[in-house]
Amino acid sequence: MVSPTTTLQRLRLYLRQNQSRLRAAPTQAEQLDMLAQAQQSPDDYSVASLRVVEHAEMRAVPVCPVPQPNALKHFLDGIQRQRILYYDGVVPVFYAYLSAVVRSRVDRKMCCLPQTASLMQRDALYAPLRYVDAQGLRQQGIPLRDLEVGEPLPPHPALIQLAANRISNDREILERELAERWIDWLSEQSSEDWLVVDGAIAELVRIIPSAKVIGLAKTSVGVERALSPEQMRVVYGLRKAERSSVFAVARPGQATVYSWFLRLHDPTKGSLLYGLLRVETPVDEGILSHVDTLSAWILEDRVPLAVPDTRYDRLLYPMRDCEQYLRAHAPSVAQLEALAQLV
Amino acid sequence: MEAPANDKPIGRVVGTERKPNTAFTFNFWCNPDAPVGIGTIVVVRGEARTVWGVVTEGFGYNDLETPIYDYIGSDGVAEAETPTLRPEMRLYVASVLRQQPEEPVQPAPIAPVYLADEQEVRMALRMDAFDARGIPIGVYRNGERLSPILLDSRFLLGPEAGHLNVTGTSGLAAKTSAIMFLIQATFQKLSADETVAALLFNVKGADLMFIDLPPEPDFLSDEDRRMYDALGVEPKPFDKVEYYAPFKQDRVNLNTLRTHPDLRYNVHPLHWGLKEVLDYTEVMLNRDDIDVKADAFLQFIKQRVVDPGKFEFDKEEQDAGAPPFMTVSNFSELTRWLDTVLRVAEKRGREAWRSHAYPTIRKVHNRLSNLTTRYRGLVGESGYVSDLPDRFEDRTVYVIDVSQLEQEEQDLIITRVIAELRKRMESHNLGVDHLIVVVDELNKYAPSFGKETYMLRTLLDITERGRYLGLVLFGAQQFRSQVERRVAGNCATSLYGRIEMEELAQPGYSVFGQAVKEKLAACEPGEVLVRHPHFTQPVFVRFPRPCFLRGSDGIRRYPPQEKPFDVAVWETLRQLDPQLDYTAVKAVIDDHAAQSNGMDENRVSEAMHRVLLERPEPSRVLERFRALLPRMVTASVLRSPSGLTGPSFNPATTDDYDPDDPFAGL
Repeated sequence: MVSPTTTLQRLRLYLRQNQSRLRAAPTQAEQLDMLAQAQQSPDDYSVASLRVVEHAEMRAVPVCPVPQPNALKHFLDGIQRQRILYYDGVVPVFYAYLSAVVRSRVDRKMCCLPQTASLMQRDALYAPLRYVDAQGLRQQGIPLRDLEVGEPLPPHPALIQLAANRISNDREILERELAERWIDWLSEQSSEDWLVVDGAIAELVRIIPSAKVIGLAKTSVGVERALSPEQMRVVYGLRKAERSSVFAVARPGQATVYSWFLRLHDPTKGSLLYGLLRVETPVDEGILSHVDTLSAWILEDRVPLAVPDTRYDRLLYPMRDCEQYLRAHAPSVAQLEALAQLV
Repeated sequence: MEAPANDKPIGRVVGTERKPNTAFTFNFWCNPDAPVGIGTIVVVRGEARTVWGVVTEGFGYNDLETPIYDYIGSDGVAEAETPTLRPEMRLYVASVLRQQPEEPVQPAPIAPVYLADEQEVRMALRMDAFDARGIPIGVYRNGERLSPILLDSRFLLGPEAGHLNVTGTSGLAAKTSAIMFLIQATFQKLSADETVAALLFNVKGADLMFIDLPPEPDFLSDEDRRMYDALGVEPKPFDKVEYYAPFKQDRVNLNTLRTHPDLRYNVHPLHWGLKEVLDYTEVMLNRDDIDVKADAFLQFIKQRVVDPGKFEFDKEEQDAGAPPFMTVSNFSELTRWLDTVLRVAEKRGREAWRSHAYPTIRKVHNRLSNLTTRYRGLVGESGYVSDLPDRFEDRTVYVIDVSQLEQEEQDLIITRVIAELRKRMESHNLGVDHLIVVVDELNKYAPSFGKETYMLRTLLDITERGRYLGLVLFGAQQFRSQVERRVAGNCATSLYGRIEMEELAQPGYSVFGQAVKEKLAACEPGEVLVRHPHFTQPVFVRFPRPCFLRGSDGIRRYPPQEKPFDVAVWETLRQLDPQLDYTAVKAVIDDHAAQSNGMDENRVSEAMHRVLLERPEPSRVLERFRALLPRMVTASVLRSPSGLTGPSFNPATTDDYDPDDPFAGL
């Protein structure tokens, strides 16, 4: 596997050699809106069914502190950084950097455990390879990902959408690979620690159904749409340190997961969604007896606040730590901008 | 804390747009527990460049944007314990000490940062260039490791540069201790080809009165001994010390705290006559006394009367009652000469004498004849002189004890000694290659404001030219800002101990960053900041306590013992005749007392000084003492001769009666 630094060096060489033939991409600032529109939310828009499994009907449950030490010890998150690097003719060529990390909490400090790989990074050029100089890029040893389009060439917005989705999918795959590796490693260690993953875990649970893993979803548009008005009233009415009843969520083609809402912060200070987090766990009857404990542990992680991130009301501090760590390793905007300006 | 192995980095250089690195400073981050602080010497090892630096500023960060977030996060509960600690880091700013290659001068590379070990410290401070000439000033401490810090003797003692200035709050073991350690280190480490001596003034207490004696057994701590080991300096008292002190009011006992019988062997009197002090009337007399006219007459006395030793009156003056000539070599003779001059002037109706106004002559007479009373233990009528040696000896410390004296006596001694040293310096007559003269309270003797005094001019001359001629000033003061800039500025090496913030706020300290100033304000005893020509940036060093008996311990072990008057006279005369019998001397004194209705100590001491001045053969010492001791003349009342006219004289009734003024009341 080629390291991101090496890829950038090779790209620099390639762009210098071909600058007369290639066309410049818009600046990063100019691309932001375009990419934001193309980016689909990874969240589950389509929920096949939602069934309350803990109580007869959805209700609010106060969460009290628990005496057990917090076993949420490992936190996984990923990031992606992408931009159209140049145009080969009229075809946009994306550069994407993807990374995921597991940060562990040891003696209250976040760190990467040296015992196993914690960080995974990948980068590549994303383009419909049949329309670009794939051979020249391969000769430079630059990693490529084909957007696999047929003829005729799709319109520009569709290409952008395609690339954005492909990059997001690859990032999810990278996160899953790392999660699987860690779940295996924790299992080998007979560890009682939990792995906390940013976002939904349905796909991961499909692969490893019995994992000690929980997912934290900061946005839950699909699930919220599946709630009945009465359930919605209960969920939006949750007060600080209250959770909803556990419900099972099934999505088309994905494993069913258990889930519940948890209010981290007092909603009177913000919107209905202020401090509202949704937790996912694998489907396991035994998990129901751990819901209060898991909820209490998550509540403990309300502090320190994940400021200055604007999502601090739902973003646990260890997750923010993961993001910071990944950003520190990612190529800087200035680096990518400088690369793009070679054309 | 034990420093990490030198091959393990403790941080990494960072440069941002807002905080870029330059050729003279660089930034690096560290873990909070890294053994780095203000003054730490570090080295950046880049691929093509090595940069040494000293930490001058430090910042602590976590990822909080504002304090309010922490307050909100903890609900205002200070003791709340979060499950996760925010990452914390230190960002340090280091000033570049050296870089290799030296050219081109570039900013530090983005590379790992290491603690400097002993070898790195040598490189950083360019000590590799002057190892053989190095004088240890202290150690740089890196955890448990001690690295010696050396000063280049050619830049401390001359001729390349010279002089030392020490600043520090009094009483915190910075100034005197640092200087004494440095002198000891100089004596031990200066090349054997070069000779060096030191002259000190003991101005307070008994600090320097026992520097030739070993300290109490547990005085030096283990840390002190480790420092001595690291510096290669043997912890021992000074081998050769000579003490000097003026007499007390009785003019036979020495006015010093070192009077214990076991320690008198190297204590010498400091006593001057007319010739020795006439140049220093500016110090001895009030500023109001010396107007232009008085100064002119004083110059006349010096150049025309005292220096030749003999004054010839002209015919006209002889007609007015003056003798053909008078010898003037001491205060008694000067007084008689002035009396004669005044008589001549009066005979002429109190007109000017040789263009000097009568009131001026009278005023000078009044002031000069008073000096042997005001400086009683130091300046004598007889002309007996006991002064510093003609030539200083190698590796010897000369201590002049002025601690028991009044301020004006201290000023006279310090001024004259310094001035005499300058004269000797000019004539290449110091006797050693380097003479270190230590002057404390430099802000008093070379003040940054006020009139340019004789002392200031002397000190300026020494600091400007002394390094070429072998005279080196080690000056010290509490407030460097109050010392004449040229004097302090001419000192190539400077030490700074603890300094009050008010002083640090003065413009002269603006070269130091805020963190360095704050460290200076809290400097521990035995720690100083060193500036030296070879060091691009100042460095903090620690020095061991000087290894000699502390003043308070010395006083306890060797309490001062004042000798009875007759014993003191006997012991003094024994310098001329070691076989001199005490009872014989006592008999002479008793005889004098019997004839004079009681002993006049003044006359006895004067006789003793005259004997010392004459230096007769040993066999004639007692005889001369007896002969020079005046016998009291029996008083008789003379009847007033008839026809004598003149103003009535009754001094007791005049308001401005001055017993030392022979013309008062006239």
